[in-house]
Amino acid sequence: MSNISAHSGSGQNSDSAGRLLRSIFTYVALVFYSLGILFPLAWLSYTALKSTQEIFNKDPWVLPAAPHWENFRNAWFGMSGEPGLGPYFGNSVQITVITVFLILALGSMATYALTRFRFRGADTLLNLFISGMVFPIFLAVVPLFLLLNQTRIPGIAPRGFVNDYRGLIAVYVAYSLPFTVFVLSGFFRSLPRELEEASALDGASPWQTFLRVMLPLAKPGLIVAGVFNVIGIWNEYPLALVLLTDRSRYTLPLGLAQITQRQQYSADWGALFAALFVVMVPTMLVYLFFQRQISEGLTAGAVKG
Amino acid sequence: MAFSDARQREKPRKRRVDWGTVGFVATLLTPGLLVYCLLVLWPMVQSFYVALHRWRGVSGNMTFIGLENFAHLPQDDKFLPALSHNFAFFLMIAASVLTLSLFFANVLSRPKTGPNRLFAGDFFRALFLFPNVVSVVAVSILWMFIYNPNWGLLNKMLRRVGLKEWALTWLADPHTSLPAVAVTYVWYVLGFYILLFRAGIQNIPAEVNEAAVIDGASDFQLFRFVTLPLLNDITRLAVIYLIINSMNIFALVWIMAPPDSTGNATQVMLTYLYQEGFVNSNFGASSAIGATNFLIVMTVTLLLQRVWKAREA
Repeated sequence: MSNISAHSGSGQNSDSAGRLLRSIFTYVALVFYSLGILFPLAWLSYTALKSTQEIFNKDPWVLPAAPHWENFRNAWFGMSGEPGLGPYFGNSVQITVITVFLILALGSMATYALTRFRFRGADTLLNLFISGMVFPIFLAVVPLFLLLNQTRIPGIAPRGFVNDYRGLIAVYVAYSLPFTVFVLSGFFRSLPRELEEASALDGASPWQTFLRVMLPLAKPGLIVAGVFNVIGIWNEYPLALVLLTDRSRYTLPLGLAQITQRQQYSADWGALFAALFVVMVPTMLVYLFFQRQISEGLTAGAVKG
Repeated sequence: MAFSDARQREKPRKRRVDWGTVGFVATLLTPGLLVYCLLVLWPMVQSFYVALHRWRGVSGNMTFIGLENFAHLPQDDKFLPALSHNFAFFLMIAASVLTLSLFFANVLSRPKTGPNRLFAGDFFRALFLFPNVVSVVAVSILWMFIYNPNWGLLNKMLRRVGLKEWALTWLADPHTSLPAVAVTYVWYVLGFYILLFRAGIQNIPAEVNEAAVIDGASDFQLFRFVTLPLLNDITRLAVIYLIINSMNIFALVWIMAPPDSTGNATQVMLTYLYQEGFVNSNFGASSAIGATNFLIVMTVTLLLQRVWKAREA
């Protein structure tokens, strides 16, 4: 690395020359890495508008001659007898919304109980929840599948909970609790104790204190936990792969993987690029709006875990 | 159970059981705890129990066979190769992730003002973290497109610059499939490790760096002899993450280069677990793979903690 040797030389001139060289090297590296991320994404975006012939015969850095918007129609509604992403998108929205709502409800209830009330075992239980962050999911995958498959409740789930969104959602909630409790416990702990006293003195019931006073104050924590869980559930693959076997019940990641595998043989590549684009847009939007919360949550979770 | 409201902690002598509060706390706690115990803790424990049985097919009978599932693994023609692929994967990603993330974290820690400032640092930070929030399935498919032998970005570029013979069938060739997945993995996670190291660098007190600069340390010396040693804990954490993630690699491999398409060159522990459990319905053997994986990760992690601490002392 020439910049280092240049730098270790004495004298003002070689010093600033070394600095300049190092600076150039730094920016070249940064730009190179940025292009490594941006170019594939850009390529994906404009290739979604190309015809399959163009994808095969033209250079990949050439923009589409004319936009093939029908790629998006084919991706969404399906092509040549294959199902499109539309239904999977709907499934994923449904599952994500319900799951994240339940995670935040159960997570904030449990965290509130464990951080704002002193009783024997409270810290142990809190640690038990948080330790779930290091449990590997794959270890539980076989027993989990068998449990959901064999739990049959006449009238409610006569054929078990595999392919049943209630089963998948319950599993998602359970596996998201450790991180959620971990994030929320930091926020709940930081709230001053006088708030509960004042609220109780004003005649509020414990539930009113929790819902009307404490939850609104923990809102920043709920946002971090919510954003994280939305991304996590929206993207989740291995548990859905195991717990959903019926194609019509697939979530978006499963559906996309499935369409790509099937399409390898009939190959409408333009529509596949469009499908991939559709899958990535929601996460891009969430990231644009919540970038700060996401890096906060990642840092907190990483250093703790 | 000594149950009391938070504000009574200061006067423990007046502690009394307030049943209204007990009921409230129990109501708050029960749903989460129930779901967590039933669907997280119980299956974890149960997996070790299932691993001790021969159990084929969803409706088949469970026969207790002790440690036979585990004893069988070393003789199995897929298990040890799978483990070695996990290890090779670890070497590939650890070397590149540690070098690159330390370099970029150091660069991105430069101040926003002053002579050594970094231009557009916030932009780069946000951009580098972005792949991390993309679905692993989308990342896999994007890179399958990049690696496509006929029209993929990589081969089109190679042919354009005259490296025709370099344009391989990256994901199907047993020699290149695992490295190709490793490159994708680094692209996917690097931003997270940059974030991790950057958080560590930000925690180093400014006086430490200033003192080193006053003593005449060059930027490289500052990094090598001040920053790096002070990042020891973070580096250990990063290595542990890399070990865990290499042992648990599944989705990228399963989608991009499933072992059946590479002559098992990309067979790793979890693809093998998945095949045994959910393709062959061999639940006992599958659980034994999972348990072995878990035990290996635990042992290696604990050993590493020990050795690392001992070296430090």
